[in-house]
Amino acid sequence: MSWKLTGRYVENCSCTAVCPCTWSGLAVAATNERCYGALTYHIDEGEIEGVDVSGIHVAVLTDSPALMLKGNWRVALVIDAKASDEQAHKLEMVFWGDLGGPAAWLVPLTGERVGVLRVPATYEVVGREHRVRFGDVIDLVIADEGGRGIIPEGAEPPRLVFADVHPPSGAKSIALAHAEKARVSAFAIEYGGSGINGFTTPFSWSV
Amino acid sequence: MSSAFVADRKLWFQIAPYAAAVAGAGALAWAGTIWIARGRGMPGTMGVDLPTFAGIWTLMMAAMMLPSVALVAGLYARSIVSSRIVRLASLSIGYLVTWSILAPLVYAFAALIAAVAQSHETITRVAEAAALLVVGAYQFSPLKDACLRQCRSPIGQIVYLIGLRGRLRDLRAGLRHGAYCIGCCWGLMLVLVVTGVMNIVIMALVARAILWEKYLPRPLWTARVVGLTIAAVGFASLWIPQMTTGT
Repeated sequence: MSWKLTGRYVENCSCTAVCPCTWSGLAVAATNERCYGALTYHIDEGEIEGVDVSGIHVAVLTDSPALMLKGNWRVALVIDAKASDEQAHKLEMVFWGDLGGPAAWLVPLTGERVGVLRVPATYEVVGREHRVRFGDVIDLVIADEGGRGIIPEGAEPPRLVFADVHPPSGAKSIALAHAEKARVSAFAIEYGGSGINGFTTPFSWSV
Repeated sequence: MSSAFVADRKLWFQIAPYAAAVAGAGALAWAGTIWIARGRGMPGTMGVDLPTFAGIWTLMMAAMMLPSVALVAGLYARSIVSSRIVRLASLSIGYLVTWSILAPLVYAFAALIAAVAQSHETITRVAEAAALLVVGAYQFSPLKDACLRQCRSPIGQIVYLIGLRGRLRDLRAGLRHGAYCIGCCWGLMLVLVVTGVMNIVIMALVARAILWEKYLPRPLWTARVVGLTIAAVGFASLWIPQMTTGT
């Protein structure tokens, strides 16, 4: 019963400003009536109970009240179609939170597991842009902040630093970003736009 | 309990055994406390030294608080895949350590009351009444409300506790949750000190007030009623000295 995953994490949600749920520990409401989010994980190296899952992409879609602390979230998983049935099964268990560890952060918040989709997925980094694609379900271009406002083009993006961790990534800090483009559509989780909230960070999970 | 606490019915069944284990530890602590309390209806420091007092105090806190912590511990257990029992015990120990840190303060306070009571009965009585009035007022404060919210719907806290890393993460999780509990319940424990540590009846009443505040549907209203009751007892004790320990 052990697993470890390392890779890169890209988050996008429907907030029109830096997501207040992150820095408030879920205690300040999102900027919209409901909060929709796409938490995407791009696994560079990973092993779950002896099964290699390196190179596979997984996304967690969330639909929650604006005040995320209220819980009762609708949660869906989107798994890279190149995962075998065995790999997909192991990834499902980890990302629902059923194998514990840092991924179990979702468990107390989840009200309904609405389903799992398996679609072809890709992830590439071009300059500041993180381009994430999960079939017709998720299409994101998330750009790390820089080159506009007071942050110079060559500078590292500013990071939000946590007293403990940012639960979805398990990272101590996350880089501020915004969506150049975002379109998400599955299980009645429908949102999109440009300029909405994004975060990126490497992640490293193990139990 | 707010419905947000655990939304998923399936989840309830998964956390139940661990919640029951922690609540069971609380029940054992009750048994131990009652056993020690027999023939020990003494006021103040109960005539024991500080280490002994700290031990008894911690056992009392385990009895009174573990049943309230059971569900948080059950949820936390879901994030643990190996050595669950050890890590859950570690969480509970971290939690109790927070409460035991108060033991020297309580000991000093109880000793002071006992010493002053010997020579200055009126001063003691007024001081104890004042303490109860302060505790009653605290039940109306924003700090109490903030801590009680964490106690009743600790999802945000739990989400962060699950994310803690490192060897001491369970202890740290326990300490952190314990700190909120102290913010919530220090006043109620002070009632216990003023009306007689090891008074099983008072202990049971205070523990019941804690469970009410945690689980009844109108938490703030409940906290206010508890506060008014304590203040009323404090006021009455000015005329009925038997209500506090000093005399």
